[in-house]
Formats: sequence, structure tokens, C-alpha cells
Amino acid sequence: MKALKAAFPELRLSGLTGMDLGERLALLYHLRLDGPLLTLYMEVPKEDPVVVDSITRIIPGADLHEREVYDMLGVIFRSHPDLRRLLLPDDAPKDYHPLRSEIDARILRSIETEEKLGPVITGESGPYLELVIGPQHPALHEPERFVFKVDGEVVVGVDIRIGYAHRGIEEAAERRTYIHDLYLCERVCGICNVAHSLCYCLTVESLLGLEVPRRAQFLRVVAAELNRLHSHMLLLGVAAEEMGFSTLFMYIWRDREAVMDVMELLTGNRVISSFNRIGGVSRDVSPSLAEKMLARLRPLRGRLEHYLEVFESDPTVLARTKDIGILSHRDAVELCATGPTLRASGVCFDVRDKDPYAAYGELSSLEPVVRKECDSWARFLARIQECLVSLDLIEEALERLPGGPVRVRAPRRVRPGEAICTVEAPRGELLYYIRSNGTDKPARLKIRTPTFSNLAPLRKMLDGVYLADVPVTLASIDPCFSCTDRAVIVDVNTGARWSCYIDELARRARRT
Amino acid sequence: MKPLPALLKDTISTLIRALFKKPATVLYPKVSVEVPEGFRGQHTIDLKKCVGCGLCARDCPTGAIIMVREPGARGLGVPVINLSKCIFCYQCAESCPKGAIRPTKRFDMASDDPHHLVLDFRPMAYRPGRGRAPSGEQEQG
Repeated sequence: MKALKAAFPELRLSGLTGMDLGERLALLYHLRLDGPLLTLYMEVPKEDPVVVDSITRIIPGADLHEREVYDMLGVIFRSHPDLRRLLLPDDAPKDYHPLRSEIDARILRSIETEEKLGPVITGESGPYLELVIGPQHPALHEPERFVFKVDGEVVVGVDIRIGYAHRGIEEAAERRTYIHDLYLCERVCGICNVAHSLCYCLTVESLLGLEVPRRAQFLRVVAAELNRLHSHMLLLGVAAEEMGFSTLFMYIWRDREAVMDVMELLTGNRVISSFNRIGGVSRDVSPSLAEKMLARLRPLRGRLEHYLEVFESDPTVLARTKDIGILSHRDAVELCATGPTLRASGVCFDVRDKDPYAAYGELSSLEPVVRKECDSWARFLARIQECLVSLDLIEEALERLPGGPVRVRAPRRVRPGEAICTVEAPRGELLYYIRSNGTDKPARLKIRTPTFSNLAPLRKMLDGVYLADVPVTLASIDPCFSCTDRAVIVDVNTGARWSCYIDELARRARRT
Repeated sequence: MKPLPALLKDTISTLIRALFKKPATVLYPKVSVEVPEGFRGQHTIDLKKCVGCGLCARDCPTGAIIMVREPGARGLGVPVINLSKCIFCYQCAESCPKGAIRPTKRFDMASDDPHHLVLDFRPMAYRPGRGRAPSGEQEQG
């Protein structure tokens, strides 16, 4: 690994899959250079404890990936700087690693755990305050907790704790058939549901060796790009709201309705599309429907260009985002950022472009958006520009729609094998890994969502920003979890605690 | 940043346009909402086409469909859909070899009576969505 990184400094870790094979554990390092995914396969005997060398020193972005595998499979990564639980609660029994085959969840009922609150106070004295934000937030959908170490108004360190909304989907998928799993995976994330179902279908199709009709591939592009438009516009609206610019939020969300309507025309539902099926898509598009969809989307281009201008010139936006939350090109690569977060730091990598799937390889209007500013502002602008590219792609895909069927029949049983697929979800690269054992249920299904990869870069971005800029910087990676509601401020020196609400933080943000 | 007069001009023109425009929101439920063709709403099952193969029940990701035995029905019986479990993915329609399950445009299915959420197309079954069942009619739980 060291040699690889030395030879290719642009090497990034896309994901780390851990698997229990019974007698042995397998670790799959999914690496990304500048093209297709490269996977290193490693097997380790199941001893007690299983110890593997950490690669966090070589690729700092591997930090959270290794913590996840430690948490789920109990692999000890030697010389990992901070090997703690990530998804399971802090008070989970020691040696309880749920993806190990010998572990039975029922033992949890018989074990008495001592109650303890996580590391809110580290006991470290000094000039810093620890600001705990989360895990509950009524406005967003998923709970998350951040412990900010603040020096006055400046954030000097942040610890992110996730897993509050962990639903055990990977394990649940192993108990359902491939058909049931499609709808399970689609519901990993409501906003980017097309990306999830598409990635799942691509992975299963490559396991089956199924050739998907070209018409279906073009329609998949249309659905995926509509999904991207909807997700980006949602985020831009939320970002405007976080900046205290509520009018812009309402305007963007009003225009987003057009995208939702087109999605409804195409798939039969505004949000959860259920459009991708194994072997194709669920329904065809008639020429009159395509015309109707294009007509509904036509005014959107002007509106998006207007928002681009607003984000480029509005003083509120500039003051809140410009030169704030810097993620340098080097850090973006080191910390394995993905999606618009990576591209706004000057790295030209888009899965649609470099590792094309569906019909992306055939479409000429695909232009990866790369910006060099590296700040929150660049991340928002990159998203607006991507929206414009998405519109081009939808138009081109609908105009060049080839004839033929939209679906082929897929067998229920999948022959033994394994497959990895990645798609460019709105938030970045989404990775699915499926291992099949010849039945109608997968033996292992691993999902690596883009926000997971973007957490390590987020820590870097938050380093050195003012507390008032934290909400916007958080929004700039388009996090797929809720973040900031109740904040408990702990004064380390006096031990006094007091609470404030994120609204108050945001109000303060508007004043400054 | 734009100079102040240009900003003011933008603001005022936007304001005037907004004053004479209809509101962007629809006052549902006072105003009914038109859903497009192919909307995935409540199901309708054509029992004449149904052969009772049970594929819909087998492929339903949430187990919302059960096959109910019925005198005269073919195969495993008649599919009955529990709408409170249904996620409206229409995998059932996809799996159906006879095309017996089709979507309707109905989307306002919320009810305070769980019986309304059982979709049963057998001739003697209690029909959901028509208020309370008249006494004496057979109910399905």
C-alpha cells in the first residue's frame, strides 16, 4: 500500500469492505486512482484478536473506514490513531461486533451494560471549550453528534460521532431476496434513491452477466439526473436557509417543484421512484411524455443561471461562504473526499466521466464541473453548475433515446461470485459490493455512501472556521444526516454547562 | 457585487412581478391536485385475470400481500393487499404474469379505520374507502 501511494500520490481509498467468511475474515480495499476501481483483497485468519496494519498513516482518509470495520467485525488496526466505536453505541459490550458470524444479537438482551455518556468531556484542560452539537435535530432527518473544540469563536478540532440512525441494512439485506433488497436499498436514502437503486441494479446485473437494453440505460440516465437536480436544489435551498437568506431558499424550493413534477411524470412518484428494476427500468417513455417533461424543465435553465448569478454576487452568500471551510487540493486527495466536495477542490474526478455506467459513456454533454477555489462557495457553485449539466444530459438522453425494450427478464437466483459497482450519486461516489453464494439471497452486501467518505474532509474544513460558519460549512458537503440542534457548551475549566439552540447559533450568524 | 442601483432595480422588478403572480402553493385539500398518468396510487386487481400464482405475495418486499383462499378461485387464492404495509413500489404488478394488478390515481388513502386500508377485491368483501361498512357485511381484518 505504501509503495502504491508513493508511486501514485493521487491514490484515494473509496471504501473498505470487511467480510466474515467463516474461518477467515476478508478485507477489501477499494482504491481509486483516475479510472476504474482497483480492489485489493486480503484474507486474515480469524484469531483472537485479529490484527491488521492500519493504512491511516499512508492514506489519512482511511480513518473512518477502518473504524467502521473495527466496529462491525472487530479487526484491530495496528497503529491506528483513534480506534473507537463508530456506529455502535459507546456502551456496546466489548467484543461485540455484529457482522461476525458467531455473534448472536440475542446476547445483547442478557448483557448488562454500564450506562455511560460518550466522550463529552475529555478531561483535557486548556484554553478550549468543548461544544457538543446533536444528536437530535428536528429540522433534518438523521441524528448526528459533533463535539467541537472551540477557542473563543474559532473551531480548533472536531470529533464526529455517527450511527444514531444505523438501521442494520447490510445485515437485513442478507436475509431478503435480491428482489426485496432492491426496495430496501432504494430506501437507504430518500433523497438520492435513484442512485442507490441504480447502483444496486448495476451490481446485481454484473453478477448475473445481464445485458441491459440501451433504451433502459438512457432512461436510467434521465432518472439519475433528475434525482441529482432535485438533490442539489434541495441542498442549495437548505444552504440559503442556513445563511439566513430565507427568500432564496423559498425561491429555489419553488423551482425544485418542476423537477419533482417531472420525476412524477416519469416514474409515477415524486420522491421514491422505484424506476430501476433488475434488468432495466419499470416503464417506458412515450414521445409525447418526453416532450411534456422537456417543456416542464425548460424554464428551469434560466432560473438556475439566475441562482448562479445570485450565489456569485450576493453579499450575504459571499460573506458566509467565500474562503470559509477550506479543503485544499492535497487534503481533498489525502482525506479521500468525493463528489462535488472533491471537485470543488480542483480534482477532476467524476465517476460518470472516468468510470462510465448506464449510458453516460455515450452522452457528449457530460462535462465534469471542477472548481479551484476549495471553499464552501466553490462547493455550492459546483452544484449549481452540475445542475445545468444535468439539464443538458436529460435533454440529450431524451432526444437520442434509442428504440427497443426497456427491460429484460432477470433470473431469481444469482450464480456465485462478487461484484462491485460505483455510481456518481448527487453527493459523490456511491459504492456497492455484493457477494453471492448461488442462492436467491446475497451473502454480503456492502454499501459505502458518499457522506461517509466526506466526513474526514469535513473535519479538516471545520478546522479554523468561526462557530457561526459551522452550519453553512456542514451544509457545503451536503451531509446526508442531521447535525445541529441542541448544543451543550461545557466550560472545561469551571465544569459549568449551558445549552443553546442552533437557531441561536444561526441568529448569531446573521448578526455577524 | 453589483452596484446598488442595479441591485435595487432587480429587487423592485422581482417584487412587482411577484405581486401580480398567483401563489406557488396549491391549497390542498380545498383545491384538488391532479396527478399525472401512470401515478402509483392505490391498486386495482382484476380478479378475472388473476390465476392465483402468488408471485405478487412472494415478491412483495414488505409482505403487504397475502393470498386468501376463496371458493372458486384458482391456485393459491386471491391476493389481498394491506395498504398500511404497502410501499407502492409496484413490484407486484411487475411480477404478475397476467397483468392483473394496475395502479389507480387515488392517493388520499389515510383513514382512522384500519379496515379501510385492506384492499380486498373479492365479491363479498368489505370495500374500503366508502365510509363505514354497513352492518351485516363481511369485514376483513
